[in-house]
Amino acid sequence: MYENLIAVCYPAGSRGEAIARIIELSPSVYRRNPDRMAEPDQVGRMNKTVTRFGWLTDFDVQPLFGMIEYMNQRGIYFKFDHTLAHDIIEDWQRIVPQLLFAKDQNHRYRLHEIMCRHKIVVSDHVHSVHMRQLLPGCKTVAVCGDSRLAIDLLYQNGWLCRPHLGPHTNPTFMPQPISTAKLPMDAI
Amino acid sequence: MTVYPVTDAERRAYIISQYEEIELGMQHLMADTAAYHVDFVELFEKDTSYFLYHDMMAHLEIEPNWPEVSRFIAKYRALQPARSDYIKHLLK
Repeated sequence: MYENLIAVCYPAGSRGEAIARIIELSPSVYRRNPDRMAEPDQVGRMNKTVTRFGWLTDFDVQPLFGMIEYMNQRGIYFKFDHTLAHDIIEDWQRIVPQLLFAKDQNHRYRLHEIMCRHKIVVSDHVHSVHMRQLLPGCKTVAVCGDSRLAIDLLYQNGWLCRPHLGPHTNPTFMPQPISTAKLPMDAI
Repeated sequence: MTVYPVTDAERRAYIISQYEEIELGMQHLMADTAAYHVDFVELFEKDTSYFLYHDMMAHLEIEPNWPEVSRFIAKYRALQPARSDYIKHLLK
């Protein structure tokens, strides 16, 4: 049904947008984004909006409607939901063809029309299992190997303690004693 | 807004819950059954990116554009901070 779709699935912090961009650089993939939007910014981050599904018609009300927004509306914590409820999948499949696909602010197309003609790369913070459920037939590419780096970045950006995730992680997780010297007791 | 003092036990319970959430997330990601896995770091490393890219292109059955991709990778890598910067706080 969605054979033209290549879904890049990645956890937060894994820069899946960059990989989606690299796939999009191939001539056989329809290049929907202007180069200005698809380049890394001054800090080296990708513009996250370029590889999402697009904008809804009522742009002022819901400026960006991706998988996360949809899941939040339905109250799904998708990170830990291994299978999605069937009515939710049908609902999402009904919504997707109605989505508008924004090449830029002035050029919007109906996603369903482009889906039939071009190869499209989509990416979001979802598990590939979910993407295959929501868009049957799509090819999934999972971004891996960067989770540790993502955790480091999370830690750097305000986490108090770093989890002990060695190569042989104990599945029954027991945290090590926390040194109270590192905790900003007075700051909280 | 209600302000109440946070005890050490509550703080510890919160941190442990965050640990468990991360651990669950890691297990969830490691159990991914995608048709193709691409390692972000390998794709952006000079020695491995060429082969990984063409492997990915072959899997996705799309036409590769290596000069454009290598240009993008060079630009992207130049903008990224060094990897040692990410773990600088751990090396103290």
